[in-house]
Amino acid sequence: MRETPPPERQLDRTLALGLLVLLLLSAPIMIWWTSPDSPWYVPYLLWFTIILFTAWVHHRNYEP
Amino acid sequence: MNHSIGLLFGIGFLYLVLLFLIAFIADTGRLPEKLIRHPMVYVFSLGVYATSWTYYGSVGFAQTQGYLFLTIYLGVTLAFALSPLLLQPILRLTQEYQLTSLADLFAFRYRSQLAGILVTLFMLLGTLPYIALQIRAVTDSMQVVSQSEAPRGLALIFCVTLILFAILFGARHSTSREKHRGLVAAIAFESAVKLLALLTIGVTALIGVFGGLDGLDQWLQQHPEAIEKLYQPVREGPWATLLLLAFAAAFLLPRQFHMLFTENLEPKALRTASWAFPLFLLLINLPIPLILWAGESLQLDLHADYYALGLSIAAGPSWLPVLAFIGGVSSASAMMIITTLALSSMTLNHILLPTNFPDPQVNLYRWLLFGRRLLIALIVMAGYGFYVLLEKHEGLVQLGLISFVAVAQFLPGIIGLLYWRRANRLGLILGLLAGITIWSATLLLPLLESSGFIRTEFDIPALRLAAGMDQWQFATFWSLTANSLLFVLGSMLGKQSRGEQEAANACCSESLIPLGGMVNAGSSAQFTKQLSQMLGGEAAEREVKQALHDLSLSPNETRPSQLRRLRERIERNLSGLLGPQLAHMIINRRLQLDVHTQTALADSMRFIEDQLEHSRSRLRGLSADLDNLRRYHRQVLLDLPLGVCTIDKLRTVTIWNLAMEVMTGLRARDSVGVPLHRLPPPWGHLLAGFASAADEHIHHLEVTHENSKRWFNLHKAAIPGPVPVDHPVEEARTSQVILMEDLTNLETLEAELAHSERLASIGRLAAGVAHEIGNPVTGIASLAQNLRHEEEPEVVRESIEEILNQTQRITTIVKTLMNFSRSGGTGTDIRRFTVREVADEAIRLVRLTHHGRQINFQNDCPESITLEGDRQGLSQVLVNLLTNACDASPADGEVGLSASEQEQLVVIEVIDQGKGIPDEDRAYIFEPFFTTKPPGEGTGLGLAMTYKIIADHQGMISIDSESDKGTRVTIELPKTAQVHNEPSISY
Repeated sequence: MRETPPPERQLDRTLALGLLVLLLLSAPIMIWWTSPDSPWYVPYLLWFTIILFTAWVHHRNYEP
Repeated sequence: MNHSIGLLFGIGFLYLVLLFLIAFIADTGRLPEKLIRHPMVYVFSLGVYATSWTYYGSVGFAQTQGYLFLTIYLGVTLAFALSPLLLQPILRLTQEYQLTSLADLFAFRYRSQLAGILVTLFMLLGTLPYIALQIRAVTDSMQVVSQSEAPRGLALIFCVTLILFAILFGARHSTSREKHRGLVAAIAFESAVKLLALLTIGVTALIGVFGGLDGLDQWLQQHPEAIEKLYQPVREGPWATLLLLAFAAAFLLPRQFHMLFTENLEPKALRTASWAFPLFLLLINLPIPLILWAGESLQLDLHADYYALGLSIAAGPSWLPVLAFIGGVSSASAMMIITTLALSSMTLNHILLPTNFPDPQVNLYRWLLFGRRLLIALIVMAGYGFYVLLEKHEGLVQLGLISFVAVAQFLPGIIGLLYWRRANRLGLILGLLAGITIWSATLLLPLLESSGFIRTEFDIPALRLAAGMDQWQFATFWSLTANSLLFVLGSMLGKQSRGEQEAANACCSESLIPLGGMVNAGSSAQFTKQLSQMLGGEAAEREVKQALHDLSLSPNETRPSQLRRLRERIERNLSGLLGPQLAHMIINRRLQLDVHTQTALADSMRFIEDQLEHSRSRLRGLSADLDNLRRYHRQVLLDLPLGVCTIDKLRTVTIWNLAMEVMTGLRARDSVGVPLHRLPPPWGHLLAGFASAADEHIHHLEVTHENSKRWFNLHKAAIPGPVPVDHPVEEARTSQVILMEDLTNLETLEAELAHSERLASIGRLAAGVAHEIGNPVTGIASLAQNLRHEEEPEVVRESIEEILNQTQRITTIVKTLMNFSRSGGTGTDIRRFTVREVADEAIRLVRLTHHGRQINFQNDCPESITLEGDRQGLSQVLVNLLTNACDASPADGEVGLSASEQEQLVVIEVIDQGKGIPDEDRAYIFEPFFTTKPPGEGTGLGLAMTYKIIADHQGMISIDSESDKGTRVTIELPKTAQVHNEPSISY
């Protein structure tokens, strides 16, 4: 059984996740996913990816 | 199918009745607790975020602003992704300090009633347009579905029904600290309904309008501008601004704060919500582009806000418009109910109570309940007033965003609350005032002006255009910039009060500052009496009882440290009832602290240990190693087989280990924190006396407790540390450690050994006894035979006299033996006796032995010398010494016994002319079980017991021996009894 990670690692992961979300939603990446050729569901896919990352990070943070 | 207003009203009413039922079933415990506490119920209850704005307005928003509408949910996703840094600390604070709203949280942290009032007023002002939006969405949707004008009274009836629901299920308890299971269940159900409705409408759009995914692709290929219209505003619009606003709204909106923190039944559920709630939002938003395109494809003659309804009428089955309408009612009603409850709680705690605190004669709980219910009605009706007054110029989203900008003004305050200790009330108030002013000027006034309600001279749009910003960017940028700057400046320039510093420590980190001062009230009864002067008798009694129960304390509790904790707990409980600031004020006024009394070291230690045990985050690195070391040392102390008790300067117990528990029968949890003299008898008196005494050691202290005798050795030493940072060094210097050694078992064993030794001596005397008794018996028998034939009265009388003499001889022997063999420990029978008498008795006993009969004893003890002490013990000493002297002397040898007085001492000498003690044995002769006699003739305990008895009398024994010349044993004993150096203590 995996041990619950120490708190500093939990906070590090949360901060990394926050930065990743900000990056995905910030101008340089937006230019890519808002291009006229993008299918309509790209923002939803991006959103879903963020949710998956969040779930994964929180799973790693709390589940022993 | 014709959906008349009456039918829709009936359906809407029935739906609300269903909500009543769900809430009632959950509240009365008919729904399993496991289900209500399930994380998904919590997640769905958070769905209150999706109001009419999401349900109807998102489509209109998407039409004009494209995918910018997603920012309102992506901001929430960001806030929930940062949940361990943002939401969980707030949840911990609200639960630990019973804070029920954002105003409570701010008033608690910044210790300012004004902060609470400002937050409440601003929340009210910012949220009323939002409530109006919900009412408008319901009446408009009814109009769209029925395709006829909805009467104004309908909105009023809707509002009254919601008031009833909120009162019945959201204000069941007088205190906001109680959770409302029914309400949570009903709101979760509402979220499920609106999700189901929107997904069904989305599927209808996809299949009913486009004929499936292929049809949708085809339509999009024919209308490439449809996708471009979604993406273009993202590239050009206020993406970041809206993201920021939604980020703040995710947990600062009154309804979000209420469901996230106040009604949270299971803190762990927040972990699931961190990803599951964004997923809920994604699902509810997935159909929005489909509904928009379906509406455009069908060329619905409607405002895009209501495409969901128009589409369900145009392309769905006949029941779909009803489901769509119910979904809309769900969105609006959930938002209105929760927002109203949150606002009523804030208004009660921060506006009504401080200005109009009830008289102590009035039942506080009833007053609060009535107040909350009245406020619920007033707030809903104020929202209704806004709805009536506002013109319909603004779209649904516009009204919602005005509220979002309003709550974003609390962002600097909340970040300061969580992460900046120096933030203070001056900075918060200045920042909020600036934010509110700019928000009012840039958003509220234009809204009221456009409704024709007021007229102003400001030309905000011109300023906005000059700045090159849109309405939301302009308002958000300037209000938040001014707010943040003044918040920082005010905090840097202003000073924090002591209360503010304490609150900052509680909010910002795991500070290890113990509770300071001592409560003047000395018992829970005095607490009740003091509080009843402000809260009334019933409320005071109930609150004190509740706090005692929370802390598992007895109503008879008098320990100062526990009373300090009780005070703290009552303040927290009252905070949930009256708000933190009022609770703080009442407690400070009625339960005053003696701040000059230093915090007992026991409290500091317990506080720090509690903090370490329940640390918000576990220790790491060197701290973790130090904590492990601390735990190890503590465990060593606790498990030491010696009683350990430490006391601080105030003579309060700080450590009470397991051995102390066993010895005294007092548990550590009942002893730690108690002043030493207040411990139950005999321990309190005993230990407090010893702690104050000059002696550092007490040996062989006899204590009678619960009718049994116990013996202890006590030792003490001063401890120079450790010293907490905020404690004066002098305190630790006078702390003491007391060690208590239980001698009872040893004492019992020694008594048994002494008795065994006496019995062994008697065994050795047996032959002599038979001989000594046999001779008189033979004499008595001869005399009795002669008496049969004797008739001369004079001879008969002489014979009888002789018989009596012989029987007296037997009686003396038997009595001596009985005295000697009597069981019982030494030192139990202290009295004054003549030394010569005891010496004679010892000689008589020794003469019974084989060797003893061959020795000439000389008793030179004067009759006048008396001694106070244990007669039996001294008899045993002399028997042991004389027996050894006999054993060492040749047949017909002489053994002398003499006594003399020297000031306060009696000196007894036993002298023989025997073979003496070999040099190599001299060092061991007083050790137990050391013997030079052949096996079976000696136990090796005689001289050891002799030494022990003399030591118990505070006497001395010395041996002067020369080989083949003899031995002189000298005993020095005090004339008066000094069996123990302290009087024994009996209770």
